[in-house]
Amino acid sequence: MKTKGKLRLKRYLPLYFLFLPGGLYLLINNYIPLGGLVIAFKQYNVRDGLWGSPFVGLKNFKFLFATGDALLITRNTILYNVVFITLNTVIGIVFAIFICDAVSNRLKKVYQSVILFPYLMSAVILGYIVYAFLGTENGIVNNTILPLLGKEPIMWYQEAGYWPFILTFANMWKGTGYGCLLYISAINGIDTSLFEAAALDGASRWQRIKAITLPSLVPTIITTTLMHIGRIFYSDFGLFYQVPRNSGALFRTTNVIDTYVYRGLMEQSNVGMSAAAGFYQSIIGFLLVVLANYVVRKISEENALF
Amino acid sequence: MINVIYYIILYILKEDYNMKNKKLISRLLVAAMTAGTIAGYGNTGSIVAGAASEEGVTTTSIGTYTVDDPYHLVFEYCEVSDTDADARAAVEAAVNEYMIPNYQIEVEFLPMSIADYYANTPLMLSSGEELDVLPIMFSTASSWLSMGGILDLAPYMDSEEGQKIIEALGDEETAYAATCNGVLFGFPANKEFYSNRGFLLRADICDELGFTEKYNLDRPDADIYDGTGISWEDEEAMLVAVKEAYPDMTAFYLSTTAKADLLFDLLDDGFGVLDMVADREGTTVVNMYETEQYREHVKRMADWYDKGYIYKDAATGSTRADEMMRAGNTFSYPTNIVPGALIGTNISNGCKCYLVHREPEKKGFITTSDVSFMNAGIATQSKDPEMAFKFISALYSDPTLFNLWQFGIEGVHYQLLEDGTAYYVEGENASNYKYHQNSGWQMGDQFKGLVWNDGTAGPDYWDALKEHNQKGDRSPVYGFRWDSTEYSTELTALNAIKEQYIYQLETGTCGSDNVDDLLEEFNEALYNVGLQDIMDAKQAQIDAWLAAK
Repeated sequence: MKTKGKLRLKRYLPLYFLFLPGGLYLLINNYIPLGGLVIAFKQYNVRDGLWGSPFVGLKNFKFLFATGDALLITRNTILYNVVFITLNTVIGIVFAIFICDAVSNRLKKVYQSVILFPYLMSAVILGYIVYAFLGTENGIVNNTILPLLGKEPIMWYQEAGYWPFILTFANMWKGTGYGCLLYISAINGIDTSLFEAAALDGASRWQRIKAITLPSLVPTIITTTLMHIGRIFYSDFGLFYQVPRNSGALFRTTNVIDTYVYRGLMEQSNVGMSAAAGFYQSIIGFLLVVLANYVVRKISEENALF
Repeated sequence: MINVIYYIILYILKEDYNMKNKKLISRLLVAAMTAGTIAGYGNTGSIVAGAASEEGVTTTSIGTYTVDDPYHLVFEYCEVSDTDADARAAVEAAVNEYMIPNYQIEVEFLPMSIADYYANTPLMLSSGEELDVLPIMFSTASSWLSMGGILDLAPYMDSEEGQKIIEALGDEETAYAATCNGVLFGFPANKEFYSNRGFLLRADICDELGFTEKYNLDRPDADIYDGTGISWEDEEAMLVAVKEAYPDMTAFYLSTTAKADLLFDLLDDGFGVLDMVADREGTTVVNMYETEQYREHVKRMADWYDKGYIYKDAATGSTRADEMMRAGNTFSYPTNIVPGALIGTNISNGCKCYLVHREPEKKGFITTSDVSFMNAGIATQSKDPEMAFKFISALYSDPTLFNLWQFGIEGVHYQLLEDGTAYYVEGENASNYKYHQNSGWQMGDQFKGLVWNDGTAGPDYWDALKEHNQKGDRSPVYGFRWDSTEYSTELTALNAIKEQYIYQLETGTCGSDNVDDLLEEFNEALYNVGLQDIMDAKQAQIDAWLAAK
């Protein structure tokens, strides 16, 4: 047994070496900071340091639930993420298939770059683009489009009802290009002989997509979805803070955990409470990943992450 | 979130590293740190009367310093204007040429950008890095005190140096304004201590529509309060006329960054305040958002919004008011007025403007937080706090030191103009100067230093500010600071709620129909998360403070 183990180690040694830099990176960047989670339970002060600061139990978590908005912000965070995950996956796949089917290789690159471009913009710029459309004083929609249609101007930044749609659209506009990258590479990885054989047998384009492309994408879809579920308690802070321009009247539909924490702690730098919020988000995210993975394993074991 | 944790881990690694190496590094450092700590805690009771100074020799309870063996003092300050490193070294040498014979102090400059100041100072305070004198923002004082990073200066006050500081700041209340949880942690810089509430109006339109004559707006000294002003009703009358003459113009610009200040002593955070309109002498803590003053104001704003005077995107806009004025389609906005403001506003607004004080709140008043925004204090690790205190005292009493630090060497970095003000030397200007700070608002007595004559201030500028400070009323609890350490959960929740409501209310965008309901909803939400507890705690602390006084 022992010699066998040694032999295996020897054989895989080069691979372990290859793994070393990445492993170190993970260790330093992702594992060592786990120890910092203890701050969430402490009244942190710099002089006593991380371990010396007094324990305060769950006191740091209290503010998350103090306003009675906890339910609202949790609901917003989860619903937005569910919608984003679903739409981004569907639209990402659709675009990926379109782009991969483009005949000209040069055009393929152009399309890909064009839809990727919004992703490279910061949320602040996205916020101003939306503002240029929806602003009351100078916005295109209120000053040009609605009058043309003979409709009254709408005070977009005062009406919470529109924002689930606006934010979803803005997020799609920004994220589609990046979201479909992974699927494009997955589609390119499918053995082309399958498509050729199907085409020879007279399968239509739609049949080829249904029978070859989509089933081949299932592992990729499951992996990315699981990863997104792990971050379901996080939200794109820029999107939810910059795009609605921090308008109080919209909080009902735009306030998510990250913006709530930011607004509360902006004026007092309380490390303990910030850590508590992060702790809450990651623990729930972790549990959801385990749960989702369990479900996947029940349905189709070979596609589960672990 | 992850970043915060990561940052802390890095800090621990750094700490561990220091721990391991401490034995290897010279014992001197340990000894020095211990000495600093002892000086901070153990010796404070036994300090007699500051440092004794003979010709060329200074003796404190910790050591004796001579011209050949001066005290090495690290002086941290915020550097807002980029400065050439060689020029700074030359100034440092000039400072020491003066300080060593006169004070037996060898100064080491430690300039910080504002961002570095925020990020690094807590680490420096906790790691025991060499540091003596530093600027302390009021808002961070409480946490720096609770981590034991900064010293209580009260034991040093009973000395010649302490007297000099009180003298420079005018009185004891002001000298003790930077007090937190009963600990005197620093001294405010001497500057203008408050601003008057007022309006800024575009001159050409005022002239055209006859406001200039009617309200006597065109006065070169309009930024100095002389007892006259206009009321909200006068402003409204102007807005009506402007709206009629120029329907497309923004008559009154408001945004999240440009709001009208009302007359409250906010008691640091605005949750539980003193209403200075209802009772100028009162010390009863009230909820600002329930006062008549606030209600009246937000209702007026809502009415103005409905009538189209206010910028339509006010609740979400963050463009600065002077930028809007510069863009050319704005008539007026609320502003705060200090002496010397007029020239500055004309430049930043890009057109001739009138400033006018606002009635009935035309006369501003001074609160503790206005005064002690930034303060000169001493780090716990200072090896000899008595010497550090001497240095601070010199910042408030010795213009030679102050001018050297602020403006550099005369004839090299600045020149004295005929009227006694200072300006860049020939051939240098705001874009190619070598050394220039002009940041006396952080520490020291500016009024003893030179006036920087960049066109916005004349030779009598400090006199005008001094007179201005004399005119302002003081809050009945001037000098009081509340201790909020036990209430961070409540304050966090209150801040989150405040963000949701104040912009809609204070810019009027909610509209007259909704303003009452919204205000009620807002107050209810505040009380639900413990506003009453905060107000009660503030009231109790104020009562105790008044009783002790």
